[in-house]
Amino acid sequence: MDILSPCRTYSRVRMSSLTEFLRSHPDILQRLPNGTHDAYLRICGSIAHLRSRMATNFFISTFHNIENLRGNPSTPLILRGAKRLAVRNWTMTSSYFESVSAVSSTEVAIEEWTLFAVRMADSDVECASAFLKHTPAAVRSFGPEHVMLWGELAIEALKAGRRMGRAVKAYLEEAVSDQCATPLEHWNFLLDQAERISLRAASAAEAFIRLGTRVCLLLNDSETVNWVDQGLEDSRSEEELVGYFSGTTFKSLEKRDSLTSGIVLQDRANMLSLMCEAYLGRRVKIRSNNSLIGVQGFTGGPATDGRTIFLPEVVPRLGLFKLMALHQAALLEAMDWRDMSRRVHPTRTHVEADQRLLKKLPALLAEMKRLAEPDLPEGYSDDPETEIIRPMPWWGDLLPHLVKDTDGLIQKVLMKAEEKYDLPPAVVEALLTFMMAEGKRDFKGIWDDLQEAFDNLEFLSPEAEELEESFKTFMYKEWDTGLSDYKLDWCLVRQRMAKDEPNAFAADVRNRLHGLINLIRRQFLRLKPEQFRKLRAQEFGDDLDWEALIPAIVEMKAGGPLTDSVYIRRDKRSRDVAVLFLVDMSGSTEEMVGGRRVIDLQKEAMVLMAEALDSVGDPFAIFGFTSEGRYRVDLFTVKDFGEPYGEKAQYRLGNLEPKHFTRLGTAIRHGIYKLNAVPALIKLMVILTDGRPYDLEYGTLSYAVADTHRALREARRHRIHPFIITSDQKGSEYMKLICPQTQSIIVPKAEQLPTVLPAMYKRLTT
Amino acid sequence: MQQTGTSRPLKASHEVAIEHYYLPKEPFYLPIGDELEVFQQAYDIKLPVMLKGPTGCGKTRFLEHMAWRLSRPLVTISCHEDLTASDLVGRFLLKKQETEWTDGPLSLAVKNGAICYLDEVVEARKDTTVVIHPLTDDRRILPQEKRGRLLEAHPDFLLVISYNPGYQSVMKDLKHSTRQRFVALEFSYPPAEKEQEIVRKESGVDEETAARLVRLGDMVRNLRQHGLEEGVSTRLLVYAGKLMARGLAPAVACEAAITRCMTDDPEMQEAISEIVGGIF
Repeated sequence: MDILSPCRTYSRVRMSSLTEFLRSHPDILQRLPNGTHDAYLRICGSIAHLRSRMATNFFISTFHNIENLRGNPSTPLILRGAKRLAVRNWTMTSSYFESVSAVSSTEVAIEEWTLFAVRMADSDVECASAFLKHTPAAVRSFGPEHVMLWGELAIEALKAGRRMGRAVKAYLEEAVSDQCATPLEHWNFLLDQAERISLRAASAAEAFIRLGTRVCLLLNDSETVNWVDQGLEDSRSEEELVGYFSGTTFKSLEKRDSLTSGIVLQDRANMLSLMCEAYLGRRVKIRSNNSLIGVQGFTGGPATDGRTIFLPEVVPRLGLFKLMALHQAALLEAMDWRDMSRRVHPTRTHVEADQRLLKKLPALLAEMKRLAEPDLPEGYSDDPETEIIRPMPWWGDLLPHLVKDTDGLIQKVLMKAEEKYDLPPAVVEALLTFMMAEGKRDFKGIWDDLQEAFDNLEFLSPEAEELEESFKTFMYKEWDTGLSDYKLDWCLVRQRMAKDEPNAFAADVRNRLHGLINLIRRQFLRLKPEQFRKLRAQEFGDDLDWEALIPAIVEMKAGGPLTDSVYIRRDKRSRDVAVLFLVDMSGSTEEMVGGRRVIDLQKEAMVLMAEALDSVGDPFAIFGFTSEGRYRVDLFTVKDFGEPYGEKAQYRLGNLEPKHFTRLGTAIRHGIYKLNAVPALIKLMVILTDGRPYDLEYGTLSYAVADTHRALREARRHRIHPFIITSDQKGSEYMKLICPQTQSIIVPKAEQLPTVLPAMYKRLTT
Repeated sequence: MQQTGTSRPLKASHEVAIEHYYLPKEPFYLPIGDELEVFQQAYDIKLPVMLKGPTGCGKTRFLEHMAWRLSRPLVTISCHEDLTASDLVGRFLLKKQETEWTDGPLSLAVKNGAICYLDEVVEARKDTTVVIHPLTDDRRILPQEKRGRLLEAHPDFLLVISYNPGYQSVMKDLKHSTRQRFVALEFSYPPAEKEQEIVRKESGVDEETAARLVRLGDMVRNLRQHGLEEGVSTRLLVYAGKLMARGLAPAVACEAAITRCMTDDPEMQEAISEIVGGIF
C-alpha cells in the first residue's frame, strides 16, 4: 500500500521531501499511536512542498505533538482540527497542538475553539496564529469561560476586511498581556474605534490598539471617540496618524489632557513630592507604579520600595492622590514593617501610619471620611484598637520583599562598585536610587548602566554634590517638520564638565595676542557704565549743586520763588547682560583653514571674548556641544555662570576637541534652560558653528533646519536673544531659514573669527 | 515699635529729637539661648554687635528688647542699595538763603549715645559701609567730611548691624574688613515649643492654633531647597495667627500670610496650600 495515500491530492513531486524523510526515519510511523497515521501524513503534507530543514523540523515536531496526545480521548477530534488548519496554513499547527490542552477538556469546547481558529484563518492567517498561540495566556487572564468571547471579538472585527488584520492581531496579543486589565467588553469598543482608524491606515489602527489604548486609559468612551475623531481630522499623512494614535506626538497627548476627567500623576507628581518632603523632611521621589508590575504582592495600588513612592498613574480625584502619597510617606517614616519576621498584621501597620499622619495633619481626616464613608470607624485618628472593616482605598500594598530586594540589590551594587571604582557609597547610592525609581530592578542592567555612567565621568573630587553638579541629564523635545508637531522627550542631553587637565592653550593665545587683547579690553571697559551718574539740579540729593544754586538765588533775589532743584543726586547705573556661548565641536571643526583647525580658531575667539568679558564684568558661560544621535547630545561645561574665568576654565577650553556631529536644536534648548536660571535683564545666546546642523537620525537638511529654527523661536519666547556666527561659506541658503539675517553672521574667513566675535558682542550689547 | 523703625525723610525740615527714639514699653522677647547675657556684656565694654540670621526670626525684636532693657534710644536704619554716606552722616540743606547742616541718623545716634541699628547692612553700597569703620574700633569717631568735623561717640553709643547669610550671592556678601569688626550673635527659628509661645503671645490665638501654625512652619521649612530661599519666618506665622485671631478662616489667613508670601511658583503654592489644608 502506498503510505502516502492520504495525501493523494498532492502531487508526487511535491511529496518528495516527505517521502525522503520517511525513508530515512523508517520507525516514525510505527511509533505513532494507532489511528493517527493518516492525520500525521495529511498534516505533514501541507508543508512538504518546502524542501528545507524547516520541513524536516516540522515533521519531527508534529510527530512529537501527536505522540503527546497518546491516551487523550479527544485525539481524533483534535487531529481533525489540526488537519483543517494545516490545509489552510501549516504554521498554525504547532501553536494549535501546544494550546489545545489549555482549552477546556470538553469536546464541544475544543470543537468550538478550532472552528474559531479556522474562521479566523479564512480572513487572516496571522490573526489565527496569534489566536492559537495566545490561548493559554488568555485562559489565564480571562478564565476558560471567556476565551471564546476573546476570539469572537476578533472575528467580528475581522469582518471589516483585511485592513483590520494588523489591529486584530495586536488586539489578540495586547488583550492577554494587558497590564491595565481592560475588560473584554471595553475591547469591543476599542476595536470599533480601531476599525474607524483603519479606514485611513491599517498601521495607525494597530498603533492605536497597541499604544493609543493606554493613552486613552483616562478617558471614558465618549471622550475616547472624541479623541479619535480629533486625530483623524488633524492628521494628514500615515506617519502623522501613527504618531497621533500611538500617543508619541504632542498633539495627541495635549488633546488627551484636554479631555481627561481624572487626575494624572504626571501633572501632580511634583506637588505631591513637595508635600511628602514637607512631611518627612527629606527628599522623596514619586514615580508611576507601572514599574512594579510583576513584583510579589503588588496589586496595582500605591507602594514603596523603601526609598521611592510609587503611585498609580491616574486616580479620580486629587484628594485620593494626596492621601496615597502621604500614607506612603508615613510608612517610610517608620519602616518597622519591613521586618518580615515581626509579622504584624498589615492592617495594623496601615492604621498606625495613618494615625501618625493625622497627628501632624489632623484635617486630612475629613478627606479620609469622604473617601471611605461609611467604613471609616469612629476614633480612627487615635484609637489603637480601632476596628477596620476593609482596607482603605489609599493604603496600597506593603511590599517588604521589595524593600528587602531593593536594599539587597543596592548593597550588592555598592560592594561591586567599591571593588571596581574608588567612589564614596553615597554617590553610588544616589545614582542607584534614581535608576531604580525609573523602574530598573535587575542587577545586570543596573550594573551595566552604572558602569557606562561611571566610565563617562571623571571624579576629580568625588563629593556627592559635586557629582550631581558635574553629570546631569536632561530630556528635550524636538520639532518634526514632517509631523508638524513636537516629539516629546526626544533627545537626551548629557551635561558634564570638559576635561580640565592643564594645557597652555589659553596662555599661548594671551601671549601671542596680548596686543589685541589689550585693545579689546579697553574697548570693552568703555561698555562698563560709570558706577554713578551725576544728576544735576535735582529736588533731592546728597549735595548742593552750586551751579544750580547760584542762578536760583539770583532768581529769588529778583523776586521769584526759590526753586527746590538745587541738589546733586548720584544714581547707580547698571549693565545687566548675561551671555551664553555654545561652541560647536563637531568633527568638521577638525578641518584646516589657513593652517589652523577651525576648532582652534573658535577656541581662540573664545579666549579673547572671555578676557574681554572678564573686564566688563558681564556674567557669561561657555559650553561646547557635540552629538551622536538623539540619546547622546553632549554639552561640555567650560565655564558656568557662577564660576570665575580661572585657570580651570581656561584648561577646559583648551581641552575641547572635535568629535561627532551637531544637533543644534537640542543644544539651543539646553542653552535656554541654562539662561533661564540667570537673573539678567538682557540675555544673549551666541552660537559659534562651522556648518549645517547634522546628526544621526536628525533627518534631512530641512528637518534639521526646521528644528533649529523652532528652537531659536523658543529662545526668543524666553526673552533670550540668539545669535549665530558661522564660518560655513555655503551657509547663506539655510541660514535664511534658521533665523532672520539680523541674528546671524557668516564670517567670510574662519581666521577672522577671533576678531569678529568681540566686535559682534560689542555691537549686540550697546 | 513703629516709631523706632522710621528713618527720616531726606529733606526733613525739622530734626527729630532723640527722645522719640526711646522705647515706651517693654517689647516682648523670649530668649532662646544666652543672647541676652552676651549682648549685655558686649554693650558694657562697647563692642559692636552683628546679628546674623534669616529674615523674621526676631533679630530686630531682640534689639528693641535690649534697647528697652538698657534704657537707650534705638535708631534703626534700613539699608538699601541707594543708601549713601550722606544719608547716614548728614548733609547741607538749603534753608531760606543759607545752607544748614542736618545730621543724619547715624550722627544723631553717635552724639546722643543711642544704639544705632543698621538693618540688612549688606544691602547698602560698599562705599557706604566704610563710613562705619572708624566707629567700630577703639577710635569710636565719625568723620563728618563735608562739614570738616570729627564727631566723637557718646560713651553709651553702640553700633549694631544685622546680616542675613541666607542670600549667599557673591555680590551680597559682607566684606571681611567689615565683618571682622563685630561680635556676632547667631539667630535661627526658635525651637517648636518656644516658637509656639511666641506665636501665641504675639498673635493672640489659642494654644492649639499656635501649635498648628508652628507645625505648618516646620513642614514648610522642610521645603527650603525648592526655590524657597528661606523657610517661613516666625514673623509670618505671627501674621497668620493675628489674622486668625481677628476671625479669618485659617485657610484664608495662611493663604494670605504664608502661601502667597513664600513663593510665586504655582506648584509650590499648591503644595503649601495642601499642607495648610491638612493641618487646619
